[in-house]
Amino acid sequence: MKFKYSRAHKPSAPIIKVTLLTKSGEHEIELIVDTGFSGGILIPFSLYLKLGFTLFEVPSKYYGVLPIGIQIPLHTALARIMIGDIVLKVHIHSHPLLNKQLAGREVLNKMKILLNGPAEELEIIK
Amino acid sequence: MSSVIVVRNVDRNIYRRVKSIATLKGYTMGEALTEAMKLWLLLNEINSKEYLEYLLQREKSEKKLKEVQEKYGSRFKGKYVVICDGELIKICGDEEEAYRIVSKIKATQCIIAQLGRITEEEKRLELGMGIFE
Repeated sequence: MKFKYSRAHKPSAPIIKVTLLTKSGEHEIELIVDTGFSGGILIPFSLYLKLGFTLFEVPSKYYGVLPIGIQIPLHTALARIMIGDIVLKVHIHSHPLLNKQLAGREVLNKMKILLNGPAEELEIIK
Repeated sequence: MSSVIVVRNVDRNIYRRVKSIATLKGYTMGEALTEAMKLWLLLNEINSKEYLEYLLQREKSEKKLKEVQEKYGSRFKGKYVVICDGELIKICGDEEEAYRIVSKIKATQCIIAQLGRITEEEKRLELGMGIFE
């Protein structure tokens, strides 16, 4: 399974397309691959709310620690996602002040991924 | 996507101040205004009635979960509890059942938790530079 890098970023950035399995059905989103993020998936709060993740939250309190040391409380749910035919259960994090869509190490470490920079292509190897 | 937008009733003094700072920092006015509007949207979202209502319900659910753990934690150890908007909905045999129950519920906020399990209260995650790009 291969995904072309996003050219909306300069230089181009590796992305993966993920299907979130939600209460209201399947919802496909693009996530930037971010090995600096140790969580699962980060999505904007408007999307978190719209897809009903506020109903599937975990009891633990999560905090995101910025590189400058500031902590931001994260709203966190546990959900199933699909990447091609791979189904994973991962944490979905969100906060109104964070509007990026990222795939963190909790997701990335479950797969064998090749970042083919010269071809601007990310490949998930089975 | 770039476009020309005409806006009436802009405070001229504020406009001049923004323009001088934007020029000093090497931004075009379009870039500076887009950034300002993004920030305005975020601040509005964090102050929205919907978000504040969600925070209130989450707080109620956390309080209820504490009570339920104290009351039923050892009796129903290993089972899953569904708490929505501060109310105990059901104690379920497994996680799948808890997810099925929540899928049919109309609420603002729910917590699914395992009974009798001491959950790590606070977890810290690294947010890399990706959130700034």
